[in-house]
Amino acid sequence: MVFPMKTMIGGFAAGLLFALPAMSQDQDQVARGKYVATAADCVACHTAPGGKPFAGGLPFKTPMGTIYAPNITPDPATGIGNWTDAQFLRALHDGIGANGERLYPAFPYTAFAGISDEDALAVKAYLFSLPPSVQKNHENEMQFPYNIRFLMSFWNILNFKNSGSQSVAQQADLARGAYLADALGHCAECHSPRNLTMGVDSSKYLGGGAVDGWTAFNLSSSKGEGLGGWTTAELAQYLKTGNVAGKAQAAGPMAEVVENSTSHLSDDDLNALATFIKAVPEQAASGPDRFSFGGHPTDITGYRADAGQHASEGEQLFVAACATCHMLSGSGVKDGAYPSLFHNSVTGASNPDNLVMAVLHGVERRGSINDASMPAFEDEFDDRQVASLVNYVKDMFGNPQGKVDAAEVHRLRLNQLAPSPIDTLMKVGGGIAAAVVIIALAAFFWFRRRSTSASPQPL
Amino acid sequence: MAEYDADVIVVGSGVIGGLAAYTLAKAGKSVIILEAGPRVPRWKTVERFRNLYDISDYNAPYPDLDYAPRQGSNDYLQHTGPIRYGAGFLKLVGGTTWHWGGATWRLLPSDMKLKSSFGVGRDFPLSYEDLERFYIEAEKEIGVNGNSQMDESGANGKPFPPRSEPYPMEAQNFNYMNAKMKEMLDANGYWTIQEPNCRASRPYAERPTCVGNNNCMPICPIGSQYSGDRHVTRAEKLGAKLIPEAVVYKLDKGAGGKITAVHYMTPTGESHQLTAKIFVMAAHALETPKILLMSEVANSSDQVGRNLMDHLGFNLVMTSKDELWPGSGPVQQNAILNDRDGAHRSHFASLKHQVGNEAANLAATQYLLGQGVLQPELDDRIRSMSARWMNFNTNLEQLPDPVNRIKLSAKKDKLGLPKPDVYYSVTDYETRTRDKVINETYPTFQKIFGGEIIKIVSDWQPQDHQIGTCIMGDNAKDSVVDKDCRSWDHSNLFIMGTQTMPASAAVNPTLTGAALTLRATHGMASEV
Repeated sequence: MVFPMKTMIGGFAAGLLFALPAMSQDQDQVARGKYVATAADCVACHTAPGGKPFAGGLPFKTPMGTIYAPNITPDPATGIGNWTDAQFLRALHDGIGANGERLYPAFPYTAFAGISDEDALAVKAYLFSLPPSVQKNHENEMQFPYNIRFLMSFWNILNFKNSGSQSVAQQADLARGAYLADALGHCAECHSPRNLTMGVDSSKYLGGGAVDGWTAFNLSSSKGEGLGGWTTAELAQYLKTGNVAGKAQAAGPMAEVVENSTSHLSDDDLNALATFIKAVPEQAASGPDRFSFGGHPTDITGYRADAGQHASEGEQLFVAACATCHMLSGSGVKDGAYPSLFHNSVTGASNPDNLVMAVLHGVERRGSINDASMPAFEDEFDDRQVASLVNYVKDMFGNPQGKVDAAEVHRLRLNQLAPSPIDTLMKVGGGIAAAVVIIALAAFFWFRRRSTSASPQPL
Repeated sequence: MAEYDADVIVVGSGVIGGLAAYTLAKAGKSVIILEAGPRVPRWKTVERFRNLYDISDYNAPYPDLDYAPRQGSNDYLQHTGPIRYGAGFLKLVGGTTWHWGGATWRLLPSDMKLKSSFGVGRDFPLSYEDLERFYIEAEKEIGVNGNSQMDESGANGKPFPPRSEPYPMEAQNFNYMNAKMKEMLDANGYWTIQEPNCRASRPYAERPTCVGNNNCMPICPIGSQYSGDRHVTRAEKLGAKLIPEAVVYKLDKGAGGKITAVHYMTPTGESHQLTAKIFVMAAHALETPKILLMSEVANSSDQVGRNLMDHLGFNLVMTSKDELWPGSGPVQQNAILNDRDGAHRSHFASLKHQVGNEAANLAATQYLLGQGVLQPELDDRIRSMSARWMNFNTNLEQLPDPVNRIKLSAKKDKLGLPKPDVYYSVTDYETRTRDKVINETYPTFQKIFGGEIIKIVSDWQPQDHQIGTCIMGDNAKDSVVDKDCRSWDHSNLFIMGTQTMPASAAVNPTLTGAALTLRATHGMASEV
């Protein structure tokens, strides 16, 4: 990062001291560390469902094996209680573990390299202030040759560099936002496409990516697929609440980000983050905004009359399973508890994946401001029914382009990992072994999947 | 090939069978669930309900099949007693909790010790303290919201009965009607409390927050209210196997008094047999004794099918002077429990009064048309009356009486199986309580709300809360199962659900049936 980090951090710390005058310096550092750890959403990956916070154990399924997030509580035996400051900084900044081993880039050290030493050590102080959890790290289950960690150093040569936001970040007024987006929030890990070696493609910064079967939409200032049609205030509201009526609602992994991370940011930071993202250059051709599709139908009387025998499968399912909350007109409800299906960035996307995923897995987003909860329909609808419903909703309320079929629903239902180009290379060429392996290792990152998120956890 | 088809076979897939199957599957047991009816997804029932001609029949949206008849099915239940027993039950995966008010009350300690406390009825073979931690578990599994500070004995005292943990969800707020009503009733010493119930007051497990569609019966259109299919699905995800459309008709007895096999028929009458180490009967209070009687098992006490109880209902329909606007929010939220507990129970039954919150448009319209009210004033009258409609429903504890029973009728159903024959009656204990309420309490309610009485329905209306027929006790001579729900006659046969309760109390029994089930399944999980 090339902006004046130390000055900015100093200002931030002073603000906290002012807000919390009774705290000792240590307490101040812990409080700051908690805030930084929240902005970096450490808890999301380092906590297993139903498990103790930061005790690790969350599996990341990849085509080459499974990686398990480690315990980062201060337990000396099973956590990081014996780590020195230098070791902690080396892990975050260089992707090197306590024993000198190369870390897999499922841990986004390429982003965390931008975290200031002060903030990183504040995170360490915060983690060390938590109760230690004795939980042995789960052994990674990687196939050969992907279990050879040192090969990551080659991948680093290709992919470990500061990301594509530099040109934007050089503007001083965007520095705080860039720091939040890149170093802490690591937005680009999901929201940028991957290059040929499966690293973040910095030439298409925030141009859209994917995670866990969900589309991570284009966040650049493109009209259409991107956020060109959004105001900064709307974006900040989205990050705070996960809900902007008439535009978008967070679901899937983004709902978790809002719940665990961005909803806890200060208004100043949210504004800085939103301002920075709004300044990201456009990354795709302009088209109609996703949220512009559809509108309130003028006459809905036909729906009910039709729904009995003559309706299509999609219409029948919509009327019976969706309309109670989203209304026959698709308008949702006034207070936004149930969003409108028209003027909605998901139904208006040409890619139907997120609509399919919302139907299959529902929406869960908890927060102090509002809770969102849409039931999962994976047990109630088969693949064909989901496809019929999604296509109907897109036709009626959203973007009629980009239909889905039962086979694609099936793939998303199982969260099947798309074929890895690396496997093809290995089979076909067998050449340039080292480079291929490096690329393959990078694919962990791209194809990472939290397998446990596939089904809701009964209480 | 394994020696048995499963560790445990559960007969019935309602809330009780679902909970039993889920708990056992979670403990690593192989489980088969047999359900007489089909599996129907929620959306289909919602759509069937919306397209009904008469939406007032809560059973109408559900399957009524000649091999698996439900409540209201023509000529299935045979009535031989003085009171026609219109038992409520559905036959499909998930059972009758697809349509219920969702009330999830605990019993009071005294409810479980009726005989020793008041000299009437029977005692449970276990105490409230024995059951408390299973009440907690049942409340968490089912997802109950409630006010942990309430005195549920109705005396407006300290929180009661004792609970070791608060309700898993905070109580849903009262709607306008209930809030206003509470104000007026409390001022007159009738303590209106929040009924604990299984609607989600915040997102809970797979269920979204209740938003008051006012359609708990016949179907919650958004799945906020708990229904038994939830635990069936969870059990399946843990490896349990569900066989729907499997009408169980016989249990086989083997050496050492053990049950060895269960037989079921498909809708076309094809017969199948399955074996297991343990059998759980969770087919509710009518079908469970029917199957046991057909199989001639578990009945050395001659108590199978006997001691049928229900909450005897009667009601006061009136208007209030002021607009109360029933119909917003869930269909029931309140309870008035002044006469739930106390020394009077030696002579008068325990009582629960509740003012229903169903939207009153239909009832008001039917009444006005019956009075000959026509346009032009009809519309205004409907509006006015719908906003003031009050339906006080009183539930009364019925004592266990062996004469009230399920027997096998000589009449046969489509599969050639005997239909259940129900003998149902009441005693002076219940009748004198009802008369006292109608003569003393109802006029007071009318005075408080200052409206007009539309009607008092004094004919007994059983509330579809079947209790008894396979009651538990501490003596093999006069009860069917012990406190662990185990048959006195067959060590590997368990009978679960409200049919094991030897007292009905005045409150809805499902949570107690669930708690008894969880207590029993945890005990038996160590046996297989």
